[in-house]
Amino acid sequence: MVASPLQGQYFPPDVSLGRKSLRIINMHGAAGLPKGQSEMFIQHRFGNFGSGAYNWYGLDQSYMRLGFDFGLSNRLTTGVSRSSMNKIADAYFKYQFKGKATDTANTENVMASWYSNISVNTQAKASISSEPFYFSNRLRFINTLIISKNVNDRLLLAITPSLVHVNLVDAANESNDIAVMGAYGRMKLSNRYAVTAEIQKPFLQRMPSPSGALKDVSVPQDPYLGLGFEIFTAKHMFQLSVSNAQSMNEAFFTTQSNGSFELKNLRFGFNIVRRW
Amino acid sequence: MINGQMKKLQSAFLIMFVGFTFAISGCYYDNKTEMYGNTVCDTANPTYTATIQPMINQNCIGCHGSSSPSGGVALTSYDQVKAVATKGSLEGTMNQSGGYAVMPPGGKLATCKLNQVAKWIRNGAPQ
Repeated sequence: MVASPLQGQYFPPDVSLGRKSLRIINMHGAAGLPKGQSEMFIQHRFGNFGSGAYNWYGLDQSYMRLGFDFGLSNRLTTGVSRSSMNKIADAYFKYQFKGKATDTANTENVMASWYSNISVNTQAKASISSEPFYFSNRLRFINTLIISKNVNDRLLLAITPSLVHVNLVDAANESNDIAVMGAYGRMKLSNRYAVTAEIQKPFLQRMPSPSGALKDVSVPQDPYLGLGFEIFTAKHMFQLSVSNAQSMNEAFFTTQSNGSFELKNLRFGFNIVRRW
Repeated sequence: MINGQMKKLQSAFLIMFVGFTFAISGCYYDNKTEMYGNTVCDTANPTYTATIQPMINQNCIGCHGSSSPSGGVALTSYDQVKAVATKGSLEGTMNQSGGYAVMPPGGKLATCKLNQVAKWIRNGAPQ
């Protein structure tokens, strides 16, 4: 295990993703960007394999998300993105309060961050709600606590409890808040290859509202599940994935009902990450 | 990167960060039933014009519009919607029961709407 002393070099010091990509597949990892560094990412998610040969097993249908991240300090990372799915624009900040983004040596085994994201549905008013229309109808929020631990030189495990807030829901007895539990893991195969996995699912059937009443959460039958394979070249990170969600925004794929983890419901996707 | 540019970029992000803080105070607890009425689920005699078309316009047309619709499925006219309805794919995809793409991808529609679609198809998909 050799730690690279060179800033900005793509030599992974340990199993954590810190110096390669901010994201696992869809979720954010605990590590932030070092101060002054930026990252550009392009994500694609295709249609499901069950859509048949006519749709080239999903490859005919694709949604993409383009984003840019910036390290404000060694602890604070921020970024913006735009996704073609539901025309979602989002922005976030991530504060890493345990472990440092610049730590090249494998000294920090536990990293922890607070991730806070706001997403704006930029679709036409009529496709969101009736009149009178309020801008707040477009917003969703997610706050996540990310705690990751390097179990050994090759394996990293993390838990990611989240709270999602939806400003406008359909029914009066439907909760605006959704508690989500999740986890991710990364197994390093070599300095160039790694396999990843992530899972997310709402876990409380009922949530308290400001009025004091308990409201219902429509808990999906199946969790969001993603399996990934990472290929790391000198300049770019390629993250190939198979998952049951097409949305790439945390406030959506964690809470929506994705299909069960059968081949027909799965879809191919990839992320391309470039860091400067 | 040159130092001056870096400073500018940093302050731009700082402004964005402050923007967040304000945005986060824009957290509301609203629901469509109380804000916009329509508390009763009317499944009596759903028609394309009165029931299905507004639903499609609100939830589907963003991707399944006329110019290069997603998956080659356009839902802009009565005939197009009726075709997927009679084929069974409209209900399959909306009920998310497997075998079809999960639609809408942002989450299943309310039970009331699913019931209206089911009734509309059983009634022969009237215009």
